[in-house]
Amino acid sequence: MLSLDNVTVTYDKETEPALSNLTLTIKEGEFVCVLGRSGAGKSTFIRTINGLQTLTRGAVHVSGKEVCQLSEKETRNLRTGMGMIFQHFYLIPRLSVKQNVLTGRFGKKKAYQNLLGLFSEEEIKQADYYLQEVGLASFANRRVEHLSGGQKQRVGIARAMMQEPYLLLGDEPVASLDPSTSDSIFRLIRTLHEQRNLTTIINVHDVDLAKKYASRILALKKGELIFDGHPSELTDKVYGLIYEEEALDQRAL
Amino acid sequence: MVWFRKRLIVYVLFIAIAIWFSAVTAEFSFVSLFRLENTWDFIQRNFWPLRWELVPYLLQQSLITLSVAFLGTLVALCLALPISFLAASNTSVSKAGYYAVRSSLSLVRSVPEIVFGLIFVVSLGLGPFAALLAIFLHNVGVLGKLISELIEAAESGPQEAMKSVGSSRRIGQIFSIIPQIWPNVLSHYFYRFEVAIRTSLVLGMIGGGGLGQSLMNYYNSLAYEAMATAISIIMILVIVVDVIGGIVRKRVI
Repeated sequence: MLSLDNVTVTYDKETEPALSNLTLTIKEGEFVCVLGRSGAGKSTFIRTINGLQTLTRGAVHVSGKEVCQLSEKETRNLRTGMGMIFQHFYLIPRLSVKQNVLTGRFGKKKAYQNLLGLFSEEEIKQADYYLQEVGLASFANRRVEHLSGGQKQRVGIARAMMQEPYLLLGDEPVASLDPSTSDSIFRLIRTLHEQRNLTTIINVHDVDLAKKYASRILALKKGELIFDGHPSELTDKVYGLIYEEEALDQRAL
Repeated sequence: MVWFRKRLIVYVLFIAIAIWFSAVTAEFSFVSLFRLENTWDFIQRNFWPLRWELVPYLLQQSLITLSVAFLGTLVALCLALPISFLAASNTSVSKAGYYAVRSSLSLVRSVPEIVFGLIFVVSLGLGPFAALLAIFLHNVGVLGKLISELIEAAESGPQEAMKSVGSSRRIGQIFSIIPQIWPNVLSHYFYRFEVAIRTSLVLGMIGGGGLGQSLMNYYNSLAYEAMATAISIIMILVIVVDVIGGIVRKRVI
């Protein structure tokens, strides 16, 4: 359903590409975790999929369409089918939990409906349903600023689910959460993934989380794909390769 | 002296020269400063007793002043909000549009209210409406600039989240930016409202009606006790508006 062909991204003023010649395919129903050090290109990779990041070379195809060739309207259409969650949640402040979840529908509605908050009864029911799913039903009318980090990420997930996505993207969704909250967030994502055969691609720092939940692991280093395989194939040797320099740096200190 | 760099001496020298130059130009004199007893004497001899029987009339006049300031700034805010999106580098239509809107805002701002007032008093006749228009025009320029700077400083994360759900550019910007900057918008608004009260007094002096006009009339007819009464009412008015602004801001945050 998703393929990258020789994707290269070089940011302005930088000589080293953030992603170089990345070629891979992801099939429907996979749960992919992307490992790598900070700056390895994980975020850039995720963002090429929904067109938030433009490519320097190469092409990304999603369901047969080339992402970078789409018009603005087509890009919007593409994004409505892709839920995305972020490290810093990126919720809308001053709005309630439920209002935030409803913004997940923005891509499917007319401008005046969004502006005035005209949501159908069905959509409101759906928002309640997803809040229930993520365990925040009793927080529906609370303002999002007053939630804890883990709860905010649950709102982010409910917002993404509100899009009824066929693809869920996560850009370091647990990087600012404590270990046990991270695990429960991953468990939630895994459940949603299993219920709907939802294709999921998530960046993560924590190798153990990736091994525990993913059905396939990718590892990036300096923009290059250095590992692609089943979690069980991720040996200590590969692990060492991904984080090699970090170890060296620490020794140097 | 770790906090101080050598360059500082140059700055201090420059500022000292500027102070000296300004003092000479403004005919600053310590002798007159210590002869302020004249001013005090004038106040003591003429400002008392207050003319209490004028209070009902002056309150009526202050209502005009208040209305001019309130309506002028509120309508200005309503117009400045959409304009400020066009005048912010991250939400403008194009680079050219950004510069065009920015420079028209500075152009409007560069004309002091009293100049607008003098023009409108001639073209529209004496009365509060001329003052209202003058305040409105100037504040579109001021609020447009201030709010556009808030927009530029707004966190870009929520904007990215709105893009990711597939919302249109404008809807995404409205929802991700306005809730973020709203408390600061209100605080700018209340400050401009307070300034507008004082401005509308000055505009009253050139024929814009309200308390300012009464103040000028009393001054011209040497009715200093009546003038003192008007001044007291102005002080109370400004303090009350300040307190109300504080309460509203606290509730919003």
